[in-house]
Amino acid sequence: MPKVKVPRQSTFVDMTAMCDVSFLLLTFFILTAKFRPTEIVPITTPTSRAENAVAEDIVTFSIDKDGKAYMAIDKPEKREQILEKLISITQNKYGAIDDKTKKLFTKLDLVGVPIQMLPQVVTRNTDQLTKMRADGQLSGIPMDSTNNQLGDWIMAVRYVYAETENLDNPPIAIKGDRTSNIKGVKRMIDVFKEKDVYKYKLITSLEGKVD
Amino acid sequence: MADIDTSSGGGHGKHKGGVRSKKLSTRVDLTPMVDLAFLLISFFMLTTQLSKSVAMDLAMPKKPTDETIKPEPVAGSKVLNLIADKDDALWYYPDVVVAGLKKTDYTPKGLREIILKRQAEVKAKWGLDDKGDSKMVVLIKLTDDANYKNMVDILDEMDITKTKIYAIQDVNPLELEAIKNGGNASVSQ
Repeated sequence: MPKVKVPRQSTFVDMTAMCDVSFLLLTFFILTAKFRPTEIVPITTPTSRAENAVAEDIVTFSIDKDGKAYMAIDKPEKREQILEKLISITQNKYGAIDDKTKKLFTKLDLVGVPIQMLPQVVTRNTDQLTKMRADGQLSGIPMDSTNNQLGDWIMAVRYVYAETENLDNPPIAIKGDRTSNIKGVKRMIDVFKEKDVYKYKLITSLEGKVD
Repeated sequence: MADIDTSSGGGHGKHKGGVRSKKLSTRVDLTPMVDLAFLLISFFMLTTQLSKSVAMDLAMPKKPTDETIKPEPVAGSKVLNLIADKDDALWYYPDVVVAGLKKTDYTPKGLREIILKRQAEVKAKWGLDDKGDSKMVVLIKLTDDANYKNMVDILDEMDITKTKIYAIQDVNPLELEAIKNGGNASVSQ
């Protein structure tokens, strides 16, 4: 009986297809990855076990290490509404704000100055603001009882979101640095309370290790 | 695709005396490239997940609309007081009488054990509520030297131990004095 000769086959696997697929995936992930926007105020949030993702449309009040308050409105279209509302409820208490400032305000990612100083800050971009903050020129939003601008902002935010959401439940979050002193946070909570905001979110990062 | 076959086609026109270069395979081994690509994919997948921040809900008690209505006092045997102080120190004492403050820390062995122990005590005396949760009341107090991380740690622990009733309150002077004295309240109440 003649032997059946099995032809020897090469063990070389063509990797081209695999390479194509993996680079396609790589490209996809790089493109879809949303990079964290450069933070003007660096804040290291404490960790917690909470797993609820932060909503897209939210107003974040941050407190940095030195206890200064800042405000960030996520949606640019809401920024204009909130500023308009602020002007109407404070009735130009903090000086008039011109149309140019109003327009530029929609591009301002972070409010970190008293309302009177807004016209000087709205022209700056993120990099310039970051530098200003490093030089100590961002004084934060005043929130002491004599000059409670934070309270006015909160009222404006409440009114704007009242049109779409529950009046008592505006999408407000507090973002504090893990080392920031509790006094600033407590003061902020008190201001919220004065303005009848009792429910909000605390922004944290995911706990690294599970114990 | 990536490799070009050059093994055939070079057969015509063998010139005499021509320099014959050695034919090299143009087949490139793509395995390392695939390795690298997958490494990067894993990196991007993991980092996009990790940088997401999460939020925990906090609800503070509403301001009473009528100042004359006093809230009902809480039975002392349901209460656990937690006082966050500077340098991550955490003091605790049961009941409403400021006495015998003890020091602990934020580790699971410290704070969580204390909460669970008190929960068991409250359960033995008061049972559970309709939803099967503990009736324990935790009063969270933060001295001016505490930091924000302490607050979030305690609130997180409330979530872990399923404690539903808690409130953030101001520290009273007796407690401050007791902390200064290393846990012993010097003044009789």
